[in-house]
Amino acid sequence: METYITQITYINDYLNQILSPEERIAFEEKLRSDVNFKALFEEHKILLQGMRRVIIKNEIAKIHNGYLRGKFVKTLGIFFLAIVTITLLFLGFQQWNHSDPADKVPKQQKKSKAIPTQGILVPSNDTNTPNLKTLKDSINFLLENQEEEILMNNETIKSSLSDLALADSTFSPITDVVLEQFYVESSRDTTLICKGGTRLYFPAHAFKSSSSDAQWIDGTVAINIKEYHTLDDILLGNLSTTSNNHILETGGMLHVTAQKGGQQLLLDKPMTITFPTKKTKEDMQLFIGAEKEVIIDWQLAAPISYTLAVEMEEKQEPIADVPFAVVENVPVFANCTGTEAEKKSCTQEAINRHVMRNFDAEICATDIPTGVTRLFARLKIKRDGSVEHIRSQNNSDCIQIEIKRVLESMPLFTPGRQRGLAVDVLYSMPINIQLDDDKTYETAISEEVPKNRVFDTIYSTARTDIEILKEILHDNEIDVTSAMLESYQELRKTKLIRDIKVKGTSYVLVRKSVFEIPTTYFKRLDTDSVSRGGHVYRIPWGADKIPDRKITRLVSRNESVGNYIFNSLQLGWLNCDRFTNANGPKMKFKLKIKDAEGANVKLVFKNMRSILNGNKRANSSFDFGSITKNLPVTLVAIQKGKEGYYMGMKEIRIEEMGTLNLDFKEYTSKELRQTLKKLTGSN
Amino acid sequence: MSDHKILELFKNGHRDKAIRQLYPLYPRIEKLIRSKGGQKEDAKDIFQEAILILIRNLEKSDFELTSSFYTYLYSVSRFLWKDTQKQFSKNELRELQGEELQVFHAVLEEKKYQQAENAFRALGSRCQQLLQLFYHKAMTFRKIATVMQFASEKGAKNQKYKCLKKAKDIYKQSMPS
Repeated sequence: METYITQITYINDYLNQILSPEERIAFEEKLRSDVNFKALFEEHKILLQGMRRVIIKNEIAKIHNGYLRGKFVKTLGIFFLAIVTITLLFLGFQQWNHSDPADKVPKQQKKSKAIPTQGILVPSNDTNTPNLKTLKDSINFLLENQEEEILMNNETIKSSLSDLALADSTFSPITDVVLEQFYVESSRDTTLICKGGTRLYFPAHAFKSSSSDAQWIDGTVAINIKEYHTLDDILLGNLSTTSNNHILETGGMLHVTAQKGGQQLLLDKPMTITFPTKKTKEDMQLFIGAEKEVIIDWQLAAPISYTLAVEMEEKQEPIADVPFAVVENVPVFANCTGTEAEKKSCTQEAINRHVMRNFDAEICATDIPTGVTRLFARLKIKRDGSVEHIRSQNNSDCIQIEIKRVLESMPLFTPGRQRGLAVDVLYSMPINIQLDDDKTYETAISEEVPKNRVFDTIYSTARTDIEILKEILHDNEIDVTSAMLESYQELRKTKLIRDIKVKGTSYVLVRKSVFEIPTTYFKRLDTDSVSRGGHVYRIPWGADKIPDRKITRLVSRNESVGNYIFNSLQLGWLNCDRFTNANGPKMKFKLKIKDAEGANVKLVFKNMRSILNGNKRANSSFDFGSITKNLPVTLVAIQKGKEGYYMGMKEIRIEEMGTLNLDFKEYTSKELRQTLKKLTGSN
Repeated sequence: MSDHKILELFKNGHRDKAIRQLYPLYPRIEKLIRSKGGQKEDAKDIFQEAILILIRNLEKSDFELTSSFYTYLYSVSRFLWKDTQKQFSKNELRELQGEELQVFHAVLEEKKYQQAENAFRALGSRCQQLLQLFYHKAMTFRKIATVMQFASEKGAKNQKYKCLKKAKDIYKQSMPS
């Protein structure tokens, strides 16, 4: 390896032309005389050219895309120019026809059939008249010959009209929030702080191209972010807080996209999102949104799995919930004893056994489909040893309650500890229910290791003095204590240990006296070169033998001032939400609103941050699905007018309702936002 | 822009601008490839390869462009396409002459660089980045260490040699011995 490095350095120096003329001659002489060296030289050159191909190819690809774009814009431009010219000619022609009706009547009739929509581009008549005479001659000709083209044109207008009609049945905001655009250098770690306080952290090289040969994307990336923090933003953005018809309570929504050169990018590494909040609510989870007809429907984000072997960082922030799989000392169930690993598996088995014995699927028979159903139980073993159930998944209420009953009937645990402190520990387990046609149940707990959701734990790697000391000691097993570290840093300061370069090779020079300190942990090794004075020259181990340190940073969810932190591998619609736990009987909520044909109708909940979208049915009737009875809500109906908006509001409770009479008033978009802000401000 | 000016651009190191000027030739190459049964994507790749070969040859001291850029790129593209389709008969190869022979050699020569490129792409993304920063951005190890978050200059250096070695091993394996 060593000679290899020297030779490569030599070759690089030659290729970079930093050798003196004599050295160059010597180099070329060596090339002639040393066959192996010559082979190495040739091989190195080829490899460099290979690398260069990558660079040039990227350049060409960029130019290619730019070229295609240019071409597209050109075609588009020509197309538009054609439409404009034809419309102008046509208008001119009509004008001209008016002035000379006797001559042209039959043609005009034919014409007016051909173009039904004239309203698109209407320059005023006055400006058109001067053109008239000059165009006069050509018009006839054009009309004869371009009839076909105009007809074609007519078709495109029609089809774009039908697109517009369709637009009503796809997702679109009422008035959207302001888009924020950031340009970031993707080869660096970047934290973006948006106006609303949302923070996004992208690690270096987080983006990849959406094409199949995905490689990391270098250079500037444009990131577009829309924040929907307040309920009025959400309401006007035409967003609602439902997941499969379950009502969610939101801690904030985001729409994030990343682009480079017009291409949408994907995430290669997870980004970290921090939602700010005034009141911290528990059990917030990350949801990913997808357009579903006229609304965005939210689905729980898939957990991101990491290597779970983790060392704790030296300095520690307040510890929040720690996943069971990473906690240093697991919570212990009743009589589990032994080593840490034994306690862990014993506790895990005990929890699973308890759930298996006590979970009674028959109670919720009507809610469970035939066949295998997979449920998840999530729980928190609190620092006082008690167990708390966490709502998760789209389980039915009945199942939620049953799981809660089973979990909370568990005996007290010895709480888990992280760095010596008792902490809340998260645990989750799958429950498989086999339901046969004849309605017998079998509950089976799957054997797989529970995948814990890691929301607020950030993993990274680093090289610290500990790794460097291990490199010098040629020992990865050694347990570096803080005393060792301190003495090492002291030795560095006093130059008793220092880096030194001899003939292009890096050594660590450890002076003789270091080995003579009574408590020293430095030993002479067989591979050391020792100087006459007894000082040791040692080549330290590299990163291959001493791997980077893995670091977890546990960022508090409860104790840091109001932040929800998530990791996500997805861009697009993101929502920080929890399932609402309003108990009580539910009802299908439907109502009719007078004169609200085509309006956008929403329910804004009084005591939780939720918004529900009303599905339009025939004759001004709106369907909201099933909602817990008697909840106080504000009904908001917004209709787009010609210039502004019409809005009606009413405070109601969820109960049987006939036809509602709303008082629609006119608002500008600014007034609309202000009024809604007042309404939703308390939330 | 005249061929002469484009040549000037290449010589003065404005590779990017020069390629941009060559791009209007692309539709004609695309037409050629499509007429021979290729797809748009093929055309893109072929043109890219042709430009790579052109750039490489322009850098050779003994190379002289005897025809126009268009003619050169056209004939290289034609060869490349034929080569990918493995349509050369022995007789054809034997009868190659003059400029054609030159082009054929250039296409052959490029193959080993392609192999090297593949070897490089087979490396992990961190290795790729490291090598590119060193060889093409000419960054010092100290700078690389900070940019790529190595603990030390030395770490970056060690890693670089390892990456290079690995690329060479992959390259050697891919070459028929």
